[in-house]
Amino acid sequence: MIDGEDTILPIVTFDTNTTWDSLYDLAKSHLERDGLVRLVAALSSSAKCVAVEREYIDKDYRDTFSNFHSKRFSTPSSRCLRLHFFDREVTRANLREACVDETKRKDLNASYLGYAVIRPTKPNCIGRALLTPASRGPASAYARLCNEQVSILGTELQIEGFPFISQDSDVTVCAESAVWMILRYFSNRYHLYPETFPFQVVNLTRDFAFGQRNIPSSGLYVWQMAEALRKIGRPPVIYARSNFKDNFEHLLYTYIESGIPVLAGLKHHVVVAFGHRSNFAANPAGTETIFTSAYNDAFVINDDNHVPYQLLHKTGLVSGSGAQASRYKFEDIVDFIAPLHEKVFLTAESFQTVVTAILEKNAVFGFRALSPALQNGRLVLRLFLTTGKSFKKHLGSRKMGNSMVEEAYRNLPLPHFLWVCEISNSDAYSRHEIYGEILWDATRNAREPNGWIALHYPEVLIVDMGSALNQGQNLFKFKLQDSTPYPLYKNNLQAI
Amino acid sequence: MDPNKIELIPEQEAKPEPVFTKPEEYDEFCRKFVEEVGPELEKQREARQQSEAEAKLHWMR
Repeated sequence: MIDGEDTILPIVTFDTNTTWDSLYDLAKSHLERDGLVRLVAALSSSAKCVAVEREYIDKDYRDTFSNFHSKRFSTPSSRCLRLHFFDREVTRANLREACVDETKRKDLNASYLGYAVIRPTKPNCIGRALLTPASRGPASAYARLCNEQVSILGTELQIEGFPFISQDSDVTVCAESAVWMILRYFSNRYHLYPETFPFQVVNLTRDFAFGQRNIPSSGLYVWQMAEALRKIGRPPVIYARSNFKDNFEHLLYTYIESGIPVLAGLKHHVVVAFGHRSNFAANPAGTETIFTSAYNDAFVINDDNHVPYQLLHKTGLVSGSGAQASRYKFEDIVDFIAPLHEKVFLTAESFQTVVTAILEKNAVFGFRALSPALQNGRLVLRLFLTTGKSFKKHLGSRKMGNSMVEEAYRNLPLPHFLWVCEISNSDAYSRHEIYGEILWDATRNAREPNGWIALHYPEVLIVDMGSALNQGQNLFKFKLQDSTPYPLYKNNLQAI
Repeated sequence: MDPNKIELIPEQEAKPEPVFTKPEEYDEFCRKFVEEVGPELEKQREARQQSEAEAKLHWMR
């Protein structure tokens, strides 16, 4: 059924007579067959109803229209369509009532799957899109997301997801699209970063073009993308597989686990990786201490040539997973760029070196010297960055295995950014539980031996009271009794 | 409040003990630690520099 076919917002409800082809007929001024195929792949399992917002002025497309398309002899329309997807039938009356009734607005919002802008560009018509991960069906994964507020006929709905845009092949190819996705995530999530439109992304790389034309785009070098991120206030670190042969995927996982979306470079293509999927039932071979990255079997990515929330599997395509599985595998990732906060000075690999030197090798502070409980079974370590504020926020719900630890952490001044090494074993980690952690000041450099703030084993808590008062390291020991396992920290990523 | 002290667990009877009783012990710990991690950190610095150099050659479209 199509309600209000000639209005500014026709609403298509799928039934026996109304299909995705009906939507195509209604939207074909902008929607191409290839674009429809991608929408069906992304949404056919969840969308039951589509509201077609006509004459939509999209800020991102208008930016490329003004700076590029308007300069051509033959120009496309300056307007777009915006498609809003719902998982149930929605009527015009529902939208009207939700405008004035908060209960009805929340009910409508619960059915909202997000939107996709359809540009009048060829060959790729799918513009800015923000779909909830629920639109793809369960991924059993964890990902970093952001929020947007959307207005439909005056009714304001919230949507949470990771921004997506496909390349238009003129102003943007995969490189600019991937940078745009990351920058839009940052501006949606934090007021600190400005909203950046596609042509502005091109301009961010202009000073580093060296004889190369920016428009039409023929692509970017990895370092140009890194410079664009630096200019926007996220100075990045770059890792090439060839130089980090033993731990490349582990480092990629560690930044993602820290809630930092990364640009993952393939041979001639780039995707945004912002989540992962772990197989907690796995039993990685060996008896040595392992990192939680050993359980990771897929990254959650946005590839501008496909649909949002694809899984890039460790071993490649998984049969039966269709368009939601990437054709790439872990070893196809050649390098990655992690855009760090300007106050994070200690990188992942340096943190790993210094924290394992304390935990595993040190005669004074190592777990072999201080913790009989941790010597039962193989250690599983989870490394991630977080803020002191967020770490403290979740102390109450996590309980930290011992009331003294919870209280001590609550009263301890912490730096803006912390590296955390959670300590668990195979059994406890499969239950998402840990036995302790080491906190390290992420604003330190790796060669400072006094960068650690706290060390917590089931039997002991050692805290640096010196750095808490902006003085030299001054370590004090609290003896602990009756400690129990407690939940791992989960605030960086959300279950999708 | 003593500006050089911080009470992490208010009203706790058993007070925390200092880990190092002599400054020389702490200095020795720091010296050994820097000596142990130094070579690995240096290798990592070189690997990152090399990655940055290669980033100038890896083109994506």
